[in-house]
Amino acid sequence: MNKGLALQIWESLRRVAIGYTLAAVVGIGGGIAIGTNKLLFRACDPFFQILRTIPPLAWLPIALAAFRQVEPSSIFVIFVTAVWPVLINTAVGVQEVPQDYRNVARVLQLPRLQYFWTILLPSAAPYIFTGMRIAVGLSWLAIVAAEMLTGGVGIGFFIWDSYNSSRMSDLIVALIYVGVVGFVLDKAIYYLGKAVVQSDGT
Amino acid sequence: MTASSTTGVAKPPGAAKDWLQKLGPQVLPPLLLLIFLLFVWEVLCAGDKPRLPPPTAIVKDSWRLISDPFSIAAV
Repeated sequence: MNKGLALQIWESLRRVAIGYTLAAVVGIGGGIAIGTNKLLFRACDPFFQILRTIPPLAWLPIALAAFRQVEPSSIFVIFVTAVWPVLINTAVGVQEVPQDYRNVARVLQLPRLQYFWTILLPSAAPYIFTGMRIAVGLSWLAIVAAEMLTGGVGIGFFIWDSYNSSRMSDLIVALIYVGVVGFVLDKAIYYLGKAVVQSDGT
Repeated sequence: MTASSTTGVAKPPGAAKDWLQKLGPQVLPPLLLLIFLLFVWEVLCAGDKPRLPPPTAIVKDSWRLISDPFSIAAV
């Protein structure tokens, strides 16, 4: 391998970014939908509870069969890993909107759209960001494992390749890289959440 | 119990009716969604050579695996 570690990491990060963004959009959208609709929640919840326990790597063969390419399959694995925590946390956050807030909205006769932006979203935001923080950690775990199996590019493949060519020093350097990047990803979502939640509160 | 005996034979007895009324709202929505999803899956993978098998093909192809989890003979 001639590419430097930053380039390997970059390749992995790019896949995580796409899959994770998709998961956040679908997770928050779906979570709001099932959180506000009791019937929809009752219908979907058993499926989520079963699907979320399927390990990320177990999705890889079926993704490869469906997409027949490594790139979309890796992104799908990231998506399917990250979507459940966001989805479930968002649904709970929406369900836990304090009754007082709802009463105030009813007294003021807030329009639906205004209720959504001024009450529902701000009070669900802490839950949403908790889910997104769990999800980013899981995505990073999943991409490294997925790349070990798919090969080609990325930090996961680099680690496996180093092991196969007995380059143990390279392997350890790569592991430290993975750990530090995972830490930075986690903190990035944490501070993003903190900034968004606080700006909503004022 | 007296109420159920007076309303006729067609209606379920009290206990079963209660059980159905309590469990119905919990079981019915996921069940309907499952049927809907299986139908969509069947339609999506209906082509000549689909990338993923539809539910009916899964049941047909893997029936040995589904029907007999404790089989030992590797035939």
